Amino acid sequence: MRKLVILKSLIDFVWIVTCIPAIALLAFFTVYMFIEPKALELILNTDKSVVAPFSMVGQLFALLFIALAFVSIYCLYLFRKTLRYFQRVKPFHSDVIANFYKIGYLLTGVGVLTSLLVVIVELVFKGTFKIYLGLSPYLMLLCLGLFFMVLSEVFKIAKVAKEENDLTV
Amino acid sequence: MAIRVNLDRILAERGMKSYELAEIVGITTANLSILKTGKAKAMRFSTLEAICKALDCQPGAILEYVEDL
Repeated sequence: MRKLVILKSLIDFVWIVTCIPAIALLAFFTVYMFIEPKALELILNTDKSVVAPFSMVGQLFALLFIALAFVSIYCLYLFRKTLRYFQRVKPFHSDVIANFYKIGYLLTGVGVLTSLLVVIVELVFKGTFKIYLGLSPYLMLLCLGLFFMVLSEVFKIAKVAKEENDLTV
Repeated sequence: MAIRVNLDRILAERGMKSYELAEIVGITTANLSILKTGKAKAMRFSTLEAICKALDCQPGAILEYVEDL
C-alpha cells in the first residue's frame, strides 16, 4: 500500500527531524528558564517588563506548556507505533485500538488545556481576555482527539466483526 | 456455545476421516476443526448443505442445542 508507505515515511521524517531535537531543546529549556527567567519571553510571547514580576508564575506556565508539548510528541510516537502495525497487516491488533484511544484522550486533553492556558496567560501577562472563535488550532486539536477516540471504537467494532467472520465456516 | 456440532459421531458412523469430509465439502481442515471444537461463531447454509450431502444426513443430526449452564 503506497499511501501507507508515504505516510509512514513522512511521520518518520517529522519524528527524526523535528521531535527528537524538540525533546532535547525542551528538556534544555526546562532547566534554562530557571537559570535565566528572561527566556520565558520566548514561550509566553511577552516582553520582560511583564514577565519579570511574575517569573515564578511564568515558569509554572512555561512548564505546563512544555509538558503539553511532550504529551503531543508522545502522541506522535504512539501514532508511529500504530502505523508499524498497519505495515505488518495487523490493523485490528488490540494495541492499535488501545493506541488510538490513548492518542485520542491525550490530544483532547492537550487541546483543552492549551486553550485554557492561552486564555489565562493572556489575562495574567497581557491583561486582555481573549477567546478565539471559529477555526482555532486548539479546537481542531480537540476535534482530532475526539476523532481518534471514535476511531478506536470503530476499530473495536471492526475487530469483533472480523473475528466473527474468521470463525464463520 | 449453545449449539453443539456432532461431527465426530457421524464421521465415525460413516467411517469417514475429517480431512476427507473437508475435501468433499470444500473447506480447510482448520475450518472443520473450528466447527468440531465448537469455536465457530456462525455457519453458512452452503456449508451445512455440503456437509449434509456428504454425510447423507439431516441438519438435526449434526446440530444439537444444549442449554448453557
